[in-house]
Parts: sequence; structure tokens; C-alpha cells
Amino acid sequence: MNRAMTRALRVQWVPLLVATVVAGVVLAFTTQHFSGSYNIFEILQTAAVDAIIGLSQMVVLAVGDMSLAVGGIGGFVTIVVGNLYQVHHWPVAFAIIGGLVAGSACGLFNGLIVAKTGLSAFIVTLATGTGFTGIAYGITSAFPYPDVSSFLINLSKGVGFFPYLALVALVVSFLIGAALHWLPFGRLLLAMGGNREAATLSGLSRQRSTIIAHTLSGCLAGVAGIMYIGVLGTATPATGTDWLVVSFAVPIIGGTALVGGEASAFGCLVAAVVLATINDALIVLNISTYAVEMAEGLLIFAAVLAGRLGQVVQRSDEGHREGLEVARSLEQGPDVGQSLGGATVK
Amino acid sequence: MTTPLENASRGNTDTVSWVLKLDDVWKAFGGVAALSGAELSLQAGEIHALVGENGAGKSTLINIATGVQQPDRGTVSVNGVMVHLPNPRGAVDHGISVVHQERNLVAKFSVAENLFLGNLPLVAGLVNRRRMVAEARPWLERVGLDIDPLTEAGRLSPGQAQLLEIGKALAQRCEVLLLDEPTSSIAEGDLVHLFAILKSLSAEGTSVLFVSHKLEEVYALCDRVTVLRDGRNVLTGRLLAELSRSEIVHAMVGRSVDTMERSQRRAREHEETRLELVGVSTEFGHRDVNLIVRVGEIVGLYGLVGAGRTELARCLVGLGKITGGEMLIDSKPVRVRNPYDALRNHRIGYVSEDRKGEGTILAHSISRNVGITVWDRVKRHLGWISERLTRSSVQEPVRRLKVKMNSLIEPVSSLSGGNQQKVSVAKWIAADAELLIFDEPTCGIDVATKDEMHRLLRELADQDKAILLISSDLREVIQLADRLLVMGGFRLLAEIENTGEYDVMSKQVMHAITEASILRPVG
Repeated sequence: MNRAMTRALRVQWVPLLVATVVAGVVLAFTTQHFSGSYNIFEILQTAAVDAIIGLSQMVVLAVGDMSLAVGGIGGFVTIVVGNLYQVHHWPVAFAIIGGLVAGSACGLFNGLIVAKTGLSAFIVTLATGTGFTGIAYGITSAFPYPDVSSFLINLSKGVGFFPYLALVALVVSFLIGAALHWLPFGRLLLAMGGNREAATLSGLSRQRSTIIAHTLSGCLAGVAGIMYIGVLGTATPATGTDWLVVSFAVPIIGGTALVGGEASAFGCLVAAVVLATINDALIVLNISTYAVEMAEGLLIFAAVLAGRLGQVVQRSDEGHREGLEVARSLEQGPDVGQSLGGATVK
Repeated sequence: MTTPLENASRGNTDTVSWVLKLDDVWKAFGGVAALSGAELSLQAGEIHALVGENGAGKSTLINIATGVQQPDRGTVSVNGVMVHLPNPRGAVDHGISVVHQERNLVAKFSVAENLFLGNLPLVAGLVNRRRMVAEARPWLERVGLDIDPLTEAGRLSPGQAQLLEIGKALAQRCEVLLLDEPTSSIAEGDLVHLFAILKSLSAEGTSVLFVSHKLEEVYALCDRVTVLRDGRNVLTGRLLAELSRSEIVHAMVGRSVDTMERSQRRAREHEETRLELVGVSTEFGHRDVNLIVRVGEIVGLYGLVGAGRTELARCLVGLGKITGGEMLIDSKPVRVRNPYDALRNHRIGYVSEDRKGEGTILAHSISRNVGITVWDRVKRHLGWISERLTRSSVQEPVRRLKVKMNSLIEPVSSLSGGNQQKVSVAKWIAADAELLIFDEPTCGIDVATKDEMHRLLRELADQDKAILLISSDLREVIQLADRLLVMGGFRLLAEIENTGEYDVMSKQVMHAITEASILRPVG
């Protein structure tokens, strides 16, 4: 029990969540609109999409890489789905599958380039992400597809304050979380991100982990893109152009390590809700929208700083312990040989 | 899957059975030979020591035995059968596991998962955590680790982590266990435990290769020893019981004495002391270090790897804390805060042993590299650094060191190793450093450049620089130094006036080292 408590306190989004809940309660009593079911719906809807965007980045961060192509792939998939549905008259289910395949293929492409050439994922995804956005604009000549399937429109509705898309986000994050925890490929990603040397020497393949992570990321970016079609009521190539900050903010605030090896799908969900709530609160309080972006920036900074401080505290703790050990061994005198003499086995 | 090893007869006493044998192994990196016909043979159930100085080729030999690197020439046989080890997995499949110097654990993963990393137990495609934990217990027990298999590996002490890695190797069903400097970072209690475990493993038939510099540990643990020097075998599979410590030390560090040409210090009128340490102790564990370096003098700081020489040097330039005693520069007590302070206020320059990593910025031009230390002097209004002024102020030192180059704007990466080293020295001369600390200045450079470096060091001394020369090359130290300090176990063991006679000097040095390692156990 006690151990679970200290563990919970170590997770960096816990204080943030508490603060958000407290602020939410205060706002609910002090303002008219905040606790309205429409407003809650809005918050959860935004959070649902942001969570998926965050997951898309998280799986790449898990192996110690990053992807700047999340938005580019999201926009591209939006256009693929819109095109297949409106121009080629595919049934919506097939259009969605087509979109997810396209997203995965984009991710696979990134993963293959990074794994095979050894170029940094930063540069590769910066280039391809821009490329994907360009292709999306090219396909539509910058015009959106206005004809959107009623299924996607309905999916962006909900029951009372609870949007269906939040259910999608819950299911997807559960699947990702479970995969990272129980599936061999999930363990591969985290092992590779946690200690590349150890994983490689244990016979795990670094290239494989890179390819899997980017492919999965592309697929998730596609999911987010498709969610957006319903929310906006149109499939526009502009989708994804403003995802970059969110894609990093959500996993980082949610406790995913930038250097890899640690990832929390649940943390992503929490972080997305926190971000959406703060966002909404600032609007309800009639604070300039510019302040919203600034708040987002500050939050990321605070989250990273908190993680760094945690490391420093831990290290100084260890340093202290080591110092004690050294002091103790010096006191006893370096009697290696003597103690070794007694180290024979019966 | 059965490996050939599992079918092999063990403890066969009639004929010697080589569990692992490396024959006539050659390996070069970019023209520099790391191994030149080295060999190694392990019997079933023995504990075999592999010793040698830094750069002797131990790591390369281990990397070849474990499939990390491929030999240029030579063979690896397991149980008398020649094998090809394309990668670490291949070695594991042949029953060869290695525990590396660096901790190779995934810190955020549980102990159990680290044990089976790369080979997790599955059920219906999912990781079976319950079975993983259950199967982990016997292995943990085998290496004497009494911990919950679900503990995060990052929370283990260095000693426990070491045992866990051995457990991991055993879980891979290894028959040959290679340990690369396993004792460098673990506490003494853990050490006793580790050795007990290794002995019981060997009693059960596992062959252990123990790589170490620490002779007392080698004697306490091992049956036979192989000594490498310069990529060749000096001693091969000799029984430790028949060898004295000094024989081993001699095999490790002995150099040919054919072309010794000693450089002599210029006679001078008065002896000003530049650096003096009085009873200094440091955060690295140095204790009671007393030394003096005078103007125009080269003081050699000799010791085996791990003696604490580099750490002492780092403390002198503020990269480590001096925790006790006094450091005096020109007879005034000083406290060096960082390398900038060391250079700016105390005129101390440190020429790192790692010239690629710490000494130079390879992609930058020669003038930029050398100019780093003179920014303060060439700085114009608003901190603008004039490229022209930089060039003129670096020209002199670069010329003086005879750096072979086409022009000052050539990148350092295009120079040879020796010339890169000169560039890293030149920047300290450009900055007017008066005390120069050279850390292994000739490590990994060819013979001709080595001689040039030696002449350079003497010239610098003659120009009134004080020089502290850290080296693992006894020949070099005897050739250059005016006085020799011998370091071991983070203490100064002896101070010897250099007579220049290699035989006499090397005997004295080895005596100091072996004496210390014999005395130390008694405390």
C-alpha cells in the first residue's frame, strides 16, 4: 500500500492531474459554462484526438527515436480516406482501412529509411513529414473533400457529455498499453529504448524495433487523422499541420521518457485530458487564445524539468550511497585478498 | 535445442579437452594491429585469467570469442569443432556468454525480464509473466541473489547487477562464461560473493575466463593465466601456481630495450617548484598524495590501468574535487574550480588521452582547434572573434610543434593521429600553459611520431614548462622522465630518481607494484 503510494507520487502526471481536478471543481462553481455537459463533451473530444496523436509519438519515443512526421501522415491519411470515399466511392469501412494502410505504409517508409541508412530519425521524418503534407495538398489542389461519410460524422457525436471518440481513444490506448506490456514486440521497443547495448547483445534486432515503432506510429497518426474528419465535418489537407507540439506534449507530460525505454499509454490519456481542460478553462475564463499556447509551452517545460529534477535527486541519492560504501570499505581497510581467502566453496 | 557442448564429455582427464580455443587470431582496425596471432585455450571447468595492459588486445580477443567482431585471420573452435560466430546470438547458441564491463541491463525492466531478455517465455503470443517469474527464481538462487524477481533492475547495487548478468548468461545455458573486468565497480562484500559463485560454477563444469588487471584477484580465483601484450601472447595458459607476481607483471609491461635513447634534463641554476601536492585526497578515493613538479622537469606518473592516474590529473584541472590536503601552484595554495579556471588563472593545461573525444574537434580547422584557448585574447568588440587574429596567434605554436599540414584552415580530421595529437598540444602552448599534464600522449600512434612526441616533450621542458607525464608505457617513462612516481590503488607507492637504466628501473618499479599488491591484502 505504502509502496503503491510512493510509486504513484513518482509518476509525474499525478500532481498535474490533481491540480487540474481541483481547478476544474473551482471553475465549475465559479463559472456558468464550465461544468455544462456540452463543455465537458468538448474537452473530452479534444482530449480523445490529442491522446491518439500523443500515442503516435509515444511509440517512437519508446525506442529512443522521434517522429516529426506524425502531423504529415495524419493529414495525408485524411486526404486518402476523403479521396477514396468521395472520388472513388469506396464504402466507408474500406476507405478507413485504406487510410490506415496508407498511414502504416508512410510509417514503414520512415522506419525503413531510418533503420537501413542509419540517418537520424529527426532529419528523416522532418523531410518525409513535409513531403506527406505536400502530397496531401497536391492530391486535392489544397481544397478539402466536403463529402464526408455519415458514419464518421456520427462517430464524432456522443451520449450526453461523453463523446464516442473518447471510447475510441480508450480502446486504442488500452491496446497500445497492453501491447507494450504483454506482446514481445512491445517489450522489444522498450528494451531497445531502455538499453540499446543490452538489447542488442541479447540478440534483439535494433532495425526491427525502429521499423515496428515507426510503422505503428504511422498507423496511429492515421487513426487521429480519421477521427479529425468527423470532428471537422470535412477531409482537409490542413489536418495535422498543428499537431507537432501536441504530439510531444502529451507523451512527455504523461511520463514517457524522451530518451526511450519508458512509455505510458494511460499517462497519454491523462495528459491529453489535462491539456484539453487547461485549454478550455483559459477560453471559459476569457483569456486570450495566445495565452493558451503559452500555457501549453510552459506545461511541457515544467514536465521535462520535473523529470530532470527527479533524475538529479535520484542520482545525488545514489552518489551519497556510493560515497558511504567507499568510506566504509576504507575504514575496514582494503583486505581483498584476505576475504578472498575465505571465499572458497565447500 | 542441444548445443554440441551439451553432448561433450566433461572433466575428461586423459586428454585435455578444449572447450573454447582461439588460434592464431589477427585483427587490425584501420591499419593499427590490435591482435597479431593471439591465442587462447580454455579447458572444461577451469577459471582462466586473461591479463594485459590497456590496449594489449584483451577486449578485441573477447569480442571475437563472442561474435561481436570477426577476426581478419585465425579460427575459433568450440569443443574441437571450428565454428563461425557471425553475431552475439551465434556465440550464445554455441554456449559462449559474456558479461561486459558496462552494465548491460535494461534498468526499467524487472530482474526476471532482464534474465530472459531476447528469449521471453510466451503463451499464445503474449509474454507469460507468471512463468517468467517462476523460471527466474532458480537462476537467481544459483547466483546467490536473494531478491524479488519483479524488482526493477535499476535498483540493484553494482554487485547485484553483476550477479544478475551472470545469471542471465547461465540462463542462456552457457558453458563458457567470459567476464570482462567484473570487479571494477563492485563493493568488497559483493566481491567475495562473486568469487564464491564463480568457483562453484567452475566446480560444476562451466569454464570461466576472467579478465582483470588486479593480480591479487587473479591469484585468489584463477587456475591458469594467459598474458597478452601488443596483441601477442607473452604467456599462454600457464599454471598460476608456478608463476610469481613479478613474472606476470614483467610479462604485462616488459618492453624491448633495444633502442633506448634517454633524454636528459637541462641543468639549471635554481629549482622553482611549479606544482606541489601536500597530502591530497580526492573524491575518486586518492589518499595522501604528495608530489612536486618543478620548472623544466618531466615527472613520470606510472601505474597500471586503474591505478588512479587520470583521475588525479582530472582533479588538478578542476574536473574532480580535491577533498583534503593542499594543492600549490608556484608555492601559493590554490583551489581550481574548472578547466577554464585552471588555464586562465593557474596556467595548467591537460592533454587528454582521448584525443578524438576530448582533445580536438575533428571537423573544425586547425586554427579553430588551437584557437579555442585564446579566445579571450583575440576577442574584439562585442565578443567578436577575429579569424585573422586567431590565425596569427596560433601560427607560432603550430609551427613549433611541426604539425604536418597544408594550411591552418584544414580540418583536423584530415591529419594523421600523431598530428592530431600535436594540435591538441598546440592549443595549450598557444594559451601559455606553464604546467602541462600529458595523459598517455603516445597511446595508439606510430613509432616515428612517438619519437617526435618524445622530443617535443623534452623541448617543452627545456622551455621552462613543467610536465607531468602519465603513461602506462614503462619504456617511455624511463626514457623521458627525470623522476618516476609509481601509483597503485589511488596512492603513490614510490618515488624513484630516474637513472635511465631500464633493467634497474623496471625492477624497482615492478618491485613497488608487486610489493603493494602483496602488502595490501594484509592492510
